[in-house]
Amino acid sequence: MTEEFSQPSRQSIWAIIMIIQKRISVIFRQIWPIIIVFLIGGNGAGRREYFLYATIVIALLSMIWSVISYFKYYFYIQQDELIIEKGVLSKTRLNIPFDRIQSVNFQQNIIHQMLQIIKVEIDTAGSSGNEFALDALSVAEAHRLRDIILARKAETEEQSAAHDEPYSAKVIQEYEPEELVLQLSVPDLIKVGISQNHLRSGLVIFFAGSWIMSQLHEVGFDFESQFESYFENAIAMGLVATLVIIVFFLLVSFIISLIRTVFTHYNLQMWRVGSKYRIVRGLFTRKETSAVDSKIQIIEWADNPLKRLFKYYDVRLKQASSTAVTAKQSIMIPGCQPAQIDQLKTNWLGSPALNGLEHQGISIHYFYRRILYRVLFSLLLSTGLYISESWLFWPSLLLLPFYLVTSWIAYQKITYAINHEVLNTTRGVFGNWNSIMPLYKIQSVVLNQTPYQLRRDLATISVMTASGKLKIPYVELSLAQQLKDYLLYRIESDQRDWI
Amino acid sequence: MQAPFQNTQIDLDLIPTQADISYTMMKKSYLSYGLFFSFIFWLVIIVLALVAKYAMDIDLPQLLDRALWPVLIVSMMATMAYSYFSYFKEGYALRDKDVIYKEGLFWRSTATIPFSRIQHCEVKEGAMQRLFGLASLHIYTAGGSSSDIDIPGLSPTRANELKQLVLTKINTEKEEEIKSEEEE
Repeated sequence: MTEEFSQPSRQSIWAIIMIIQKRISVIFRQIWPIIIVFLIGGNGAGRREYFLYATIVIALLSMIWSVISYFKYYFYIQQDELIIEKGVLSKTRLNIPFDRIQSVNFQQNIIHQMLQIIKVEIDTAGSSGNEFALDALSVAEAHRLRDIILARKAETEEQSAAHDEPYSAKVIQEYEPEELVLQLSVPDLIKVGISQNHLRSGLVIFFAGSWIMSQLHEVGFDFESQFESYFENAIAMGLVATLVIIVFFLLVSFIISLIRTVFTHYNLQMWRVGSKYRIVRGLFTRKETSAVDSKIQIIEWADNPLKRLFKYYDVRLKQASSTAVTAKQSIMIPGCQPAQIDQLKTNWLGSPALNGLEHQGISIHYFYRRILYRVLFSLLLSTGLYISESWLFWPSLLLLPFYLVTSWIAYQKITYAINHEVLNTTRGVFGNWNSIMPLYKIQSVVLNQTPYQLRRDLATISVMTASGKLKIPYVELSLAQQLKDYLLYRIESDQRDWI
Repeated sequence: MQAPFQNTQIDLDLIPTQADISYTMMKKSYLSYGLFFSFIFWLVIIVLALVAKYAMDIDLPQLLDRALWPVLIVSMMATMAYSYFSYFKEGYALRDKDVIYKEGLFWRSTATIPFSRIQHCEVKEGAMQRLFGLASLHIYTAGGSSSDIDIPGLSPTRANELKQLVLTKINTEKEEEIKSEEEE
């Protein structure tokens, strides 16, 4: 089987379509404001023809370029490396050693699905921008390529004798049993969509909108004068109109985030295969990602008040990544029930490691420090509003109790638990955030003291991993030092491979 | 393949502690380097303010005009005092298994990276640093730069020695790892 792919071969012929599509969308993203102006006919009619010809020439050239680059693109396997040769004018040869490959992911957008092809993404550890993608392979070919890469990768890793622990990637064989860990039905998805953070998606829409405006403004499209008169009217209409607008805005972001959730997570299935997870999801773009146990650095699960109502959490599997925590390396699985999270934890860490985790609180000074400036700010604000006799004075009085209550909750919710094997931290104000990681995956330990902490003999411990950090804020200095010594002792006396 | 689960108790008093570590201070010229730059920084601002006032005839409100010079001079002295005193709070130490680097006068931080978690390291000599005969050692870890550390204020020879030492440490760690696995 390993004989396959040993000869330089091209991608599926459909790749041409994918390359053209990619190129057009890149070009379109750069010149779309011009196109809109052209269509609407903003600037003088004399330029219209020029635009038309330019567009046709660019389109033709990019199409020819795509076809040539398809024929100049080869990939093959040689020894322990995947090799990609490409380039029309200047040739590039990329060697990707198997043991550098972190994961092989599949992606299918709607065109891929129609053409029965798969985009194969190969993630490597190391500097950012080091991801490689084969735009289009036939479904069978893609699966075979992945199986070969993963099997050979496991082989080379075993040869280098660096793995002997249960966490290491076993040779992935096709007959390995698959177990369905999690599946989201459409009702589940609707629940997930409803409980999204709508304020956040509202902000995203708002910024996207203003970005589009500024782009159009740049090419000489004047919205502002129209909007100004509109807003003047709105103010004239008064509070009711403003409320209507806000409600409308929230409703739109609610619907958009609902639709987005259903599209991205449609028919989510999470499978346990050997020592890794395989996750498939998406309606128009079907994505398949995988996470190997040994590559996961932190498991995080979080809820918010709405999610608590439905009794489930969003889970993030954070893998080692080049640029801190990119969205790509942190796999998000919405709609996990507590039992499923327990299963994830046990699969990853083993149940003995989860025994005897006793959560400790932090120093009350965290609360004092947190409210100090907030109280000052709210008092100043209220005074200022009182003096200026603004009607906002009465609402502003609510700020003080709000800060007091949220700070108290934040203080109450920060806890940490350490045993011989794992570190578990919690935090949150409205929601509950939980992070868990095995101690041997820690990369460095930093002890920080702000001037406030220095005076009170307190310290904050930051535990750095290859995929973000966990913090234990405001603990007694002597305890912090003990914890640091213990953590370092645990890392340094452990021989397991951590990424 | 899985080793039987063990859970022997660890005597917490026997864990090596960092409390009695003696840190090596940065090179003396690192202090001059810091002082020099805080001086130059404020000098540039003062010169700009002078230019604005006399060459460009920008009038400031009287109160601001009177307060401006004392404020500038005091900020300069404060910054220089800060870099002077923080020099004595900065230092590094090497143990058998890790590198420790601490810094900060008011905001203190102590970072510890075990050798087994270091990916590689690099000696950096900026143009300005070279003027003062200084180099820094940058220690890289996996996955982004948040857990990297940069030890500044070393002499170039010391920086290279440290780099060699760290590299040998990384390699011996790896050999030990392989050995212990063979024993199993």
